[in-house]
Amino acid sequence: MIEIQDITFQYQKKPLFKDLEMTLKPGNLYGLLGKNGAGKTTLLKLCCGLLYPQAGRLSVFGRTPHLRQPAFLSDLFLVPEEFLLPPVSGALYRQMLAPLYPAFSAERFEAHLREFELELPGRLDRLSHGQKKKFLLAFGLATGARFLLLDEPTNGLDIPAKGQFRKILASELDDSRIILVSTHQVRDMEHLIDPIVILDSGKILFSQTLEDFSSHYSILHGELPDGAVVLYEEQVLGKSLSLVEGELPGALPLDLEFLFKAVTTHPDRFTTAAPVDAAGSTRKEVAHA
Amino acid sequence: MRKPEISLNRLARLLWMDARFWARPLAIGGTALGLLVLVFSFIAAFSRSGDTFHSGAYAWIMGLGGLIFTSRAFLELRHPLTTQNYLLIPASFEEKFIARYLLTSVGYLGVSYLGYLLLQLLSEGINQLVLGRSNPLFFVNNLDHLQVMAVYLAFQSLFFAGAVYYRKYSLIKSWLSVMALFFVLMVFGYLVFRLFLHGYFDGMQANESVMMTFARMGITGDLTIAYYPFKIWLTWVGRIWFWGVMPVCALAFAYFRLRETEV
Repeated sequence: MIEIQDITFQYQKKPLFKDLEMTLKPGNLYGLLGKNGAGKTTLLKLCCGLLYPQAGRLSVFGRTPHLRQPAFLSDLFLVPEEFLLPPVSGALYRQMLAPLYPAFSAERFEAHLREFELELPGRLDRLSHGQKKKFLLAFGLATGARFLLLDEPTNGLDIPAKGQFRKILASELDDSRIILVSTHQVRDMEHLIDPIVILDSGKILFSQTLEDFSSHYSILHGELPDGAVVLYEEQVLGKSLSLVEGELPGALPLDLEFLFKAVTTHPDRFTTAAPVDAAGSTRKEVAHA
Repeated sequence: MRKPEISLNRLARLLWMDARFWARPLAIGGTALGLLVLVFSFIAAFSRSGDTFHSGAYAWIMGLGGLIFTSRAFLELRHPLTTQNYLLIPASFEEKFIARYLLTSVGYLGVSYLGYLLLQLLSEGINQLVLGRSNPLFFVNNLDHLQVMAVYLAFQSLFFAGAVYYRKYSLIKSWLSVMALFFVLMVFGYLVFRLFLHGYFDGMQANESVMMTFARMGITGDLTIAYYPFKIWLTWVGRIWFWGVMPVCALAFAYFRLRETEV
């Protein structure tokens, strides 16, 4: 389990997180959504100990990230949005690093590479960005680390590779693992991420499982029933697409982009009011505008 | 607080990883230097002026080469993207620190010396074949040679700290810092003399009253004998500083600096 309690962090004199709280439970693939500069990458870096919080407590499977203990680091893998691979061959990279991850599976690594239609490459630094990303994703997912942090994992992947990635990611999720995917390419990750966490200006605006969402909200296109409490609406194909309170008949499947716009446009209507629940999400009370 | 964690298995793996990573650049640099040594050794043998050629050449390779290599020990820390790779390698700070230190200190000394042994054998073999004469070979076979290596190791610790601290141009910045450090020490020493011992000196010489005191005490002729206890004391202070305080402080600084590195 990952517990973030009252974390405060700022860059120089620019405050980002103040008393941030969040709990992530194993067996979930969390989608961390947010605009540029919302703090997604910073949160990932705090979780893996690349940055130190100025106040508060952060615990990843009972360990403190910024101590960067070997047992912690071998149970975590970060695929950053931007990265550099060393000027060594793929085989040597595996030979050097795989033994440091006790749960690394060579079979899964090869299977993921096959899925990505990538052979064990020569010099890693000479690959294209997409190929490097495929290699790193395949390696990271094969490490067996219980905490996987993927920062914009679909950036740079071609269209077939995005599908392959979704397939691999779905196959890698099990009850012991927490996968935290930070993205603003919400279409790439739709139907895969659950729960959804929306971050804006260092604050968590929304954090719910899809099940929680559908039992509390509905997305309707066209006519609304009498008394529906509209939280957000926009015009689509001449009709209004609305996010309304409550579980209503005829609701459309969740559209992440629409939800994201709704939450970031009217964050006050999605105020966090209750403690974190067992699934790691936070129940909301809708403050009617 | 946390306890230091050191696993020999992980340490050996880190050493192997670092050695594999550095093997190519070192081989390229070593080959270039080797060719230079062959050429200059040939010229020295030809002009019959190579009595100390190999000892001098190895001193340059050990000293300058070692400091250049040491300054590049934490090359990853120069770029945030490579820094994050390095910091996330599943090993403790202690293991990462020790691996790099061993590699750049005794590792470099050992490899460079063995490499140079082979190089001078090749070089003198060629000289013998072509010119019918050769330069004397250099072997580390006495205490003086070992002492020079030890001096290198003590001095290298400063450049090791510089490699962690300075993200860019660490060789030149470390060199300037070392110069500044020695300058500060010199000024400090000068101030100590001026402030606390000024009554006994006239410039760098003992003043007249001291001379008279010595004369009254019956100390005449070579007055340096009167300074002897002070000289011993000063020598010991210098030794403790050079062999103990300086490298320990430099390495401690490097270790804590590495621990607090963020991306």
